[in-house]
Amino acid sequence: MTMPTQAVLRAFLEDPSEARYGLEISAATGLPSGTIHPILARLENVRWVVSDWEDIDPSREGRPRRRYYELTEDGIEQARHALAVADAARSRITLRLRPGEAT
Amino acid sequence: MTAPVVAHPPIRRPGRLLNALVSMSVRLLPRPHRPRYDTEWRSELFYTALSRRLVTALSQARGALPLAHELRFRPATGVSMTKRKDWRCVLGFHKYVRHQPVHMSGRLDYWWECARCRRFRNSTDGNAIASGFGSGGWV
Repeated sequence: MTMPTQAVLRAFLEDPSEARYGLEISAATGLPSGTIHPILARLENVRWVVSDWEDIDPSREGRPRRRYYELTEDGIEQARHALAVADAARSRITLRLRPGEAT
Repeated sequence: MTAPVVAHPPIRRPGRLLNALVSMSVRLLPRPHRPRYDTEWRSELFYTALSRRLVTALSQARGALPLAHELRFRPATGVSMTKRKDWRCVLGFHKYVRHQPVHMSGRLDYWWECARCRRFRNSTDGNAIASGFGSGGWV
């Protein structure tokens, strides 16, 4: 799993029940919009994330609708597992490169 | 889906240049997904600070091709997808593309799917795929 994907999942897992829109995820991760959308599409493909339009009337509100993304139940579980695996792999590499840090 | 909306009162709608950039980026996506991303990206520009709008639009343009790659096989929601079989697939010349979900770490956890007719093949059925020309395969 790539670092940007991990960053997006971490942003979602800060509060898994909360729906977020693209710009919000972009701000939380520090990644540009062009990087976020392919990742979100991939996560939607594997059903970790679902998305839906904001429930407003744009003409009445005077602003366009936002697209909200939310982790699914399965997605929360899978994301936690995937991040744990990625963290474990990273710490193994760190220990190999800097053995002194193990003590 | 409703969520708390952060109040960032927009000053101005995105201008012609930005709208043109979004239109060009959206054209790179598969046709059924264009309306969704057209609305979503214009909306993002609307909520972005004026000084950051061009950077955001350029970033969207840069991300359009990877996004198109991700969207290849996904039917758009709310759009009826007609089943159409390509003549090359009828003749047995499928164009298999490898699929590997992000959470799958093992090298063998993938499957093959024809980019044209969506015919599925398991990763264990690799012999037929490997024997074809280039990325395509004989079936």
